[in-house]
Amino acid sequence: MRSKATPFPGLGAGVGALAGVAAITALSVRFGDTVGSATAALLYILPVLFASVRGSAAAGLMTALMATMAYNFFLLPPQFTFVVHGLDNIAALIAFLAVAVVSSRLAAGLRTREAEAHALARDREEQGELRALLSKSIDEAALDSSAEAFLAKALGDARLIPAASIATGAGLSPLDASAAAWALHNGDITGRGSAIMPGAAHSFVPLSRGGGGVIALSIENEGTAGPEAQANALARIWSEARDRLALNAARQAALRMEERDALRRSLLAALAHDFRTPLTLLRGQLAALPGVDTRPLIIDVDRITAMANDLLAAAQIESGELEPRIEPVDLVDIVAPIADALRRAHPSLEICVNLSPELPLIAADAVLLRHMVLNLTGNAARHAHGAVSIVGALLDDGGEGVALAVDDDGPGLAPGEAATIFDRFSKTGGSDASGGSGLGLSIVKGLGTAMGATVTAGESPLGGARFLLRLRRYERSSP
Amino acid sequence: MSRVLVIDDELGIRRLLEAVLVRAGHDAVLAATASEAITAAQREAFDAAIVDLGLPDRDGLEVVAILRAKSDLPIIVLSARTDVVDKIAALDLGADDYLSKPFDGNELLARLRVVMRRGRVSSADGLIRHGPITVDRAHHTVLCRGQPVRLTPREFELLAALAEAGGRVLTSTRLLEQVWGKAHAADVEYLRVAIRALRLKIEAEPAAPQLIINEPGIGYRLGG
Repeated sequence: MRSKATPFPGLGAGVGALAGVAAITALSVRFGDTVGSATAALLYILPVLFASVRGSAAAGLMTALMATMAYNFFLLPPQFTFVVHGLDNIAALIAFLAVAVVSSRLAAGLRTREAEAHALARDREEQGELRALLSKSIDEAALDSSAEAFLAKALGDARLIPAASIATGAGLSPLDASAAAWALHNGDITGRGSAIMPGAAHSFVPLSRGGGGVIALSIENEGTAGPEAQANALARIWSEARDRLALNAARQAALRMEERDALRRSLLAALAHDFRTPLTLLRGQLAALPGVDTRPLIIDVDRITAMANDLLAAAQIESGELEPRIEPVDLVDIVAPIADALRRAHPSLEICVNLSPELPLIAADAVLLRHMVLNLTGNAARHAHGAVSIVGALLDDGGEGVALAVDDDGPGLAPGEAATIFDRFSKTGGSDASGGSGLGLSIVKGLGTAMGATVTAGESPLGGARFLLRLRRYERSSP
Repeated sequence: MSRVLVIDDELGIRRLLEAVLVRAGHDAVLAATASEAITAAQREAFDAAIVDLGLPDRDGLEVVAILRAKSDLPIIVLSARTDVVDKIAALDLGADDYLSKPFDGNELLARLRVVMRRGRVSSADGLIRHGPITVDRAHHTVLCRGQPVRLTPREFELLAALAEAGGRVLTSTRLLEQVWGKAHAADVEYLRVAIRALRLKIEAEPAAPQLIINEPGIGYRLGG
């Protein structure tokens, strides 16, 4: 037959089935006496089934036709003619054809599913291989080159195009360049095999999570259904592996940062402990010296302690380690003890405090606020000729805040100094012997910032400098 | 003569504390580590303990808790840290008072006297006396410099609590719980307002208080 000469799926099965038909015919003719024509008809179903299941629908139909003809010619009377005698022959033909069609349909479905399962398993295996390969990479460059090599082998060609080169065309055709740009900006799979610009030569898979590029795939493996799906799956695995690497890097960095912070915190605490121990000893030994007035020396030790406290506070401000504990604070509690200590340390100065009993509570960290006021009053006492004044008042900006002014009658600020005086190591006129650390005012500013207070410098009604703290009023709802 | 247990990891500080204590007529037993101190406290009875919060083998706070669990020994903690958190924690765990390093020897002795007087503030007549203040719990009356003072029930409770502490510091939380109840333990504003009112009634100069002394970030004590 002509059709046998053409390439034809299930050719081998068809030939086998025809041989089966011939064999059954020969046997039936030879043993015609013992084998009835009905039995022979049943036997013919076997090669038809065989051709349909192992071959194709066409092979099944061909075999059914051949079986019908053989049955008619050799077995049905009148033998050796194609003359149809009764219904037997027609019924046999219909039965053979029905068997051929139904069984070939079933078999074809089965074969398709089997092929699909096989392809799926192969794809999965390939994905697993890529995943395993990429999980070994510890840096992005190694990961990208392994992935490129793997995809090139599996698909034909694959490369990662960074966002920057997409903007300049990346050596792609105009259509491919726009497909790549679309993939980058919209995060969709674009190009060949997708719904968007399917005419492109490559398939473009965007990197996830702002990976800054796309993976361009050219797929050589033609023919079978949906190679793009597997290509895209592999590209996704690549992209996810890059994400994982980036995430790990970020986690490592965060961990290192945390360790460094912990170290810095413990260093600050150790520093505080270390300088306080010798100062405690010095102070204690001075106090125990018999027959000498060591009080001026003890005052010096206290001043060194204050400077050391300033250094520690400066380090804390610098490192962002300050965690203010905001609570309602009565300014009397902060100012009165400081004024007492100031009077003891500077008996020649007139220290004047004016806090109205009507002043509202303020929202502040009491310890930090005390440090601020200590530094401001210490500064004022160093520069004052004879008087220091500490005045608390409601700010006249609608009663929202409370002002605390520290005034002195000293030489005051030089022109332009008000702006720079809070810079670190800026010193106002006086000599170093008067004992400022040069940090005091910058610390006032830094601590103030940490708890929502501001400080400004200006002219005092006493003739010297005025430092004005603007503090937040405590409200029930404020933290 | 009273026996004082001194716990500090610095030899110099132990010597200094010993010198201060001996000069004032106390007997000092020195411990360099938490475990030495705990062993010593199990072996003999002390009249007071001075605990440094920065110990090498264990946190000083832990020592405070262990000592307090075993006895009502008066405890003063020493802290080299500027922040108040560990001081508050020590007071909450049962320490009676605290001092920051560098401290003044006389200040330490004064605090020691105060904490060792604890539990003996009421005199035989049932009155609590502290400086110019006399609190009569039975009759709900207060005398200040011999003059009767009219207080609201809250102000009375607050002043009585401070007077009973006899100069020891009381944390804001403790005062709020004691006077206003546990539900108001965080309402520091109540305490500030009541202290202000109390100062107006008993302080000679309310803007420069000498009787009710604030410890910033921690609480209050009675001075004088």
